[in-house]
Amino acid sequence: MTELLYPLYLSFKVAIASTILIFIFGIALSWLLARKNFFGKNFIDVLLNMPLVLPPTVVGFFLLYLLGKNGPIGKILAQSMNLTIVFTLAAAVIASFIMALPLMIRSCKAAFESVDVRLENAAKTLGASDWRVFLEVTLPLAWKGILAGLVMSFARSLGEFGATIMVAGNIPFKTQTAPLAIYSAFQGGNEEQAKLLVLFMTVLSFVTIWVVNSLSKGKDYANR
Amino acid sequence: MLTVDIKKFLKEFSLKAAFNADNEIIGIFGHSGSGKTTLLSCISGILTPDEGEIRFNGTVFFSSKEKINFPMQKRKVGYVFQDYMLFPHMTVKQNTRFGIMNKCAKEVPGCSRSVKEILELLKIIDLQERYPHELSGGEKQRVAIARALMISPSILLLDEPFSSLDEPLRENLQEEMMEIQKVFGIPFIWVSHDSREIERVSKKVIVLEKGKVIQSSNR
Repeated sequence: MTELLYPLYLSFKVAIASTILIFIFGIALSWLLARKNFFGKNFIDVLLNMPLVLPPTVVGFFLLYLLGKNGPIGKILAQSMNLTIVFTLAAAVIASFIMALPLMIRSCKAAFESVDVRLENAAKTLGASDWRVFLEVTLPLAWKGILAGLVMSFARSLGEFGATIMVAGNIPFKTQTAPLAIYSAFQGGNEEQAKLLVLFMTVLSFVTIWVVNSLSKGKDYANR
Repeated sequence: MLTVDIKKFLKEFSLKAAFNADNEIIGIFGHSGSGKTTLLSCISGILTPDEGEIRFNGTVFFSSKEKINFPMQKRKVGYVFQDYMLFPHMTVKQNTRFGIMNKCAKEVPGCSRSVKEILELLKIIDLQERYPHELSGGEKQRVAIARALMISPSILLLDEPFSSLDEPLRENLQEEMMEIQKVFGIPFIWVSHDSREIERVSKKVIVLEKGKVIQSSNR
């Protein structure tokens, strides 16, 4: 039983950590891309969306290069803090974060763009600071898109396979998340276990899309 | 007194406007695309002029020479937008209170009137728990005006305030606004593409065409 539950536990752990990161960085980056003009904006926009079309193994390869012991980031972490990222659960979190971030950014950016800038200007003429405008005007009007992005990102993180196997490996009870366990179980002839995990992942994906769809169908303040 | 003497270069045209306003209603007339909204945006601080200055009673709102651009949040310029721009997720009361935050009106320096007084003045006290999508056009405009007046503005800008309303309602609101201007005793800058409306509400009229003042008259 633990062989079945542990990969699910690891998947949830990874997905929750990745979703927290996505909540913070996703909202900040989407807001910047939707509202501000700065040098290299289009380049950054494209770069952040690349994981949508790149094979996940390619993203994993890049991450392995960056975070590996001799990679630009991995080297600094190893030398300064004696920290190794690759083939740990942290690497799985980073892989899920990078792979799921574009889903959040696409949904969130569209939500921010749907809020009329003139509403924000109206709030500012009434004396509201930028931060208050964001919290009391922009965020409440864009929350559906933000929530939809978060749900999608969570599900994507839960199901991440390609980049994770490259950068975190497939180590049972350490980095073997549910999708990796399905692969290993099937390869190892343990079809029963694979089937149960497949069933779980399928139901979860169905619920996710259902939630996202019903969020986008509901009445939207911004369009009233 | 409000003194405006600015230039703003845009793709379609350049806005060049200079005028003074005492505590009176100044009418700004022009067809669409003449630069009326750009002018109001510069006074409120939403847009930054390229040259010139805007002063109000000794406060420099903008000066290209002195490199001053007073933040729009601190200008206390009430702005009634063309499409109301009410916050759709807030009730009438919450919209009206937005500018004084969640404080009691008396705690805000310079705010002499309570939310209730403002809602009564604009005759929307019975609507205070409704949301903007539950209001008619005229009611929405009353809320937009109440919200702008709540901050005890030093100037009130009105961008085509009643252009989407029918005639009898329009005239009533125009008269009410003239009364409200007397109560507040501050400059109202009233923009419209309707010459009859401008003539009715203001004694001082500025005519804009393609960003230039082509006529300025005191009647």
